[in-house]
Parts: sequence; C-alpha cells; structure tokens
Amino acid sequence: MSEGYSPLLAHLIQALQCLPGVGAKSAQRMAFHLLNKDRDGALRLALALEEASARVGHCERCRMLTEEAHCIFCISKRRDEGLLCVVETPADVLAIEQSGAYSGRYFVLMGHLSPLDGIGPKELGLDLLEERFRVDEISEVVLATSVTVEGDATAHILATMAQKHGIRSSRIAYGIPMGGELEFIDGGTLSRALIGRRKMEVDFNEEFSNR
Amino acid sequence: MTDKETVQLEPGFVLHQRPYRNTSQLIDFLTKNYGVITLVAQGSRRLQAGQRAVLQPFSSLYLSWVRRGELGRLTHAEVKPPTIVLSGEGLFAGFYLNELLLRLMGRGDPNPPVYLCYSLCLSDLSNLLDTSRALRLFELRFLAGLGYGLGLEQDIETGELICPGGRYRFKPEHGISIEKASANGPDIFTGRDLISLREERLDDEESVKAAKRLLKRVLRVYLGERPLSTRSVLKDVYRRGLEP
Ligand SMILES: [Zn+2]
Repeated sequence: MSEGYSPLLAHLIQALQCLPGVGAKSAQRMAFHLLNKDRDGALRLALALEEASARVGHCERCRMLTEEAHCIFCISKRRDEGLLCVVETPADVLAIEQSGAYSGRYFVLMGHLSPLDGIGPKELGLDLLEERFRVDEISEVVLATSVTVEGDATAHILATMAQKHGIRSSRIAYGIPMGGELEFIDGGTLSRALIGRRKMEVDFNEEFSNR
Repeated sequence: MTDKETVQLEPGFVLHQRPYRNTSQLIDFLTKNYGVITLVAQGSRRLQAGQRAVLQPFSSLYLSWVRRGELGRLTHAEVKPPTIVLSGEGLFAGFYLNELLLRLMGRGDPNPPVYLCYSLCLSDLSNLLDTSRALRLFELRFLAGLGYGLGLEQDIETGELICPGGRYRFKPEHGISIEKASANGPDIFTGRDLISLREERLDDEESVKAAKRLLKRVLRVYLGERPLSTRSVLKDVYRRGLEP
C-alpha cells in the first residue's frame, strides 16, 4: 500500500494504522487530509499525542486515566461516598455518567478477567480495590462488568470480596433492551434475563384499594 | 489447493476468543466431529445481530462454517438447547476445562468421546454438582479419550488385581505396584481409592482427594513444563475469599 510514497509519508500511514478500525486505506485518507488540508490540525494532534502519552497515567484511587494523582470523579465532593461502581474501561465510566442515573464513585479494572490468557485478579488491580473496601466507608458496590461469561466471573469475585468486607453488592440488571420484543431477542440474552429476573414490588396505593 | 469444506449445524462449544483484525474475533471451538478448530467470526456487519451474544464460552451451540485450509470462517451460530449456564465456582472450573482441552488436544482431531465427556462435565457444573468430583471425572475420561490409560487394572510387577486393603505406588505412564502397609508419600494410594477412581465412583471425600493427587501427577507429565494459566489465576481468585 505504501509503495511509491516518500519515507516520511509511508511512515505516517503506517503509524496511523495502530488506531482501532483503521486499515491501510483509511490511514492513507487521514494522512492526505492532515497534510493537504489541515497542517495546523496535524501539529495540534502531534502535540496532543505527545503530551498525553507522556503524562496521562492512572488515578491512584480508581485507575481511571488522568494526568493528576486523582481523577475528577475521585476528587469531587458532590458524589455519594458510600457507592462504588466497578467497570471494565474508562469508556464505561463515561457511558454511566451520561446515563445520569449514578452519582457514586468508580473503580476501573482496565480490562476483563481472562484466565486462559493469564489475566486474573492481580492484573485487574484488585489489590487496590481491596484496599478501598478496607479503608473507605462503602455501603454498596455496583458491579457493572460486561454481560459475558468473563464479566460474570469477574462480578462473582468482586461480590465475594465485598461480602468479606461486609459490603452489599449488586449487579447492573441485564437482558431485554428498551423497546425489545421477546420474539426478536436471542436465546442467550433471554435466558440471562430470566435467570437475573427480579422481584416486582407491588405496593397498592390506598386510594385504589378496596375499602 | 485444498478443497472448500462447508459444514452445517455442527454441535460445538466456544473454548477461547481473542480479537482479530479490527472488528473480528478468532475463536477456538471444540466440535463433536471435527475436534478443536479455529474459526474467524467476522464483525457484527457480517454476522447476524445476536450472534455475538450467542458466542460465549460454555454454551452448547450449532455452528456452520466454510473452510479452505487451516483457518475457516464462521457463517452461523445458534444456541443448541438445553441452555447451559455456569455461575460462580462453576465458571472458573469451566475455564480450567477449556485450557486443558486447548493444551492437550491436537487441532482438527475428531474425538466424539472427549466432546461427550466435556458436555457431561459442563452439565454437572451447571447443575451445581460437586465441582471437585465433576472435574476429576472429566480429567479421567478426557485422558482415556486421548488414549492415555492410567493403568489401574493390575499390579505391573505381580500381575495381581488391586485389592481394596492394599497400598500401592503409582507411576504415571507405568501403573501401580504394591507397597508395604506402612508406605506413605505423594505417590502412594490405597487400593480402595484406586478402585473408586477406576470405576468412576468417587463417592466420598477421601477418594476425590486421592483422585486429584493422582490425576495432577498424570496431567503434569502430558502438560510438560509450562503451567496452566488458569491454575495460577484460580489460585489468585481463591486467595481473595472464594472457596476452592
Ligand atoms: Zn479516580
């Protein structure tokens, strides 16, 4: 693909392909765009990449990506101290933030359990998490790991750890998406939804009860 | 040029998945009639919606693929009832089974008996039967399926049948030989425990423990120097409060 290009251009096209979803063709398009139409943008991008890769590390409390010792979620005084939500990636944190339904703190595993690849509790930072269970005053852990076999296994370990520290744990509910009609849901999803079914609290209002 | 192979609705299980190129996955499957095979599952654009959800370890599946040479392409996957759902401890046991299969089974060697003992073990685990016993029975049947007999029929030196009251020394790849009643050590077993293992009974804690000790020695011979990844991960898991 990079035949006929000057060495610097070929190098750039090659380097762009480290991005997910970017193959030779799109890398070539990006390189042409940056060099032909947006040199300023190219320089800003180069600088941003250099700075971020040199300085962004992990939050010391929750492993979220940040260039500070602690991320904004850990610093904020307005969040519920008693709630801790465990997720797999920084993108999951942002997705939950956007839902607007959660106001506690986070812990980011930075991956998921994969025993066959040697990725276990230690690799997912569970030593640090255990420390938070021990030191912080957490009343509930929300387990928001992915809805996969590996995510279930991770949630199981986390729930066991929480229980050991006398902390209640809950798993985010999963199964039928909003607007989902049962006949179009695949068998795997449906069986999980049935296994994870929850009790319906039916509280009749006095107004409507027969007197 | 190899011929194109098209397979429809072959029973199988996902053993391991890893990312491949941009949106695809390379998946190792255990199939009933084709043994362990690796297929590419292309991104959701190609696979019908819901297929990704179906492609989870420990689910009994029907698989269709096309293949030319070593690496095939998955064209369809659907759940084969009854649905198997592992939870808690059973999940970790399942990962161990999968690694064992990937390490010890050659690629593309059809082995229906191994497929059968794997399905049986998963269903034991999902029915929450004793995990340790289920794993030992799997190891025993799996080794037999691969053609590795344990040699628990008779004394290799005297040729006599095992007697329940005797004590025996076990040597992997050889078999058993009688010892003094006072003999002790990691490779000494009672005749009673050996018979219980051979007859797939393992109905008390003693014999399950003895079976674990014996099978571990045998597996070490076939696994070689490289330890199982799942074993070290599981040790770490159990260290954090989970009961082994
Ligand atoms: Zn933080």
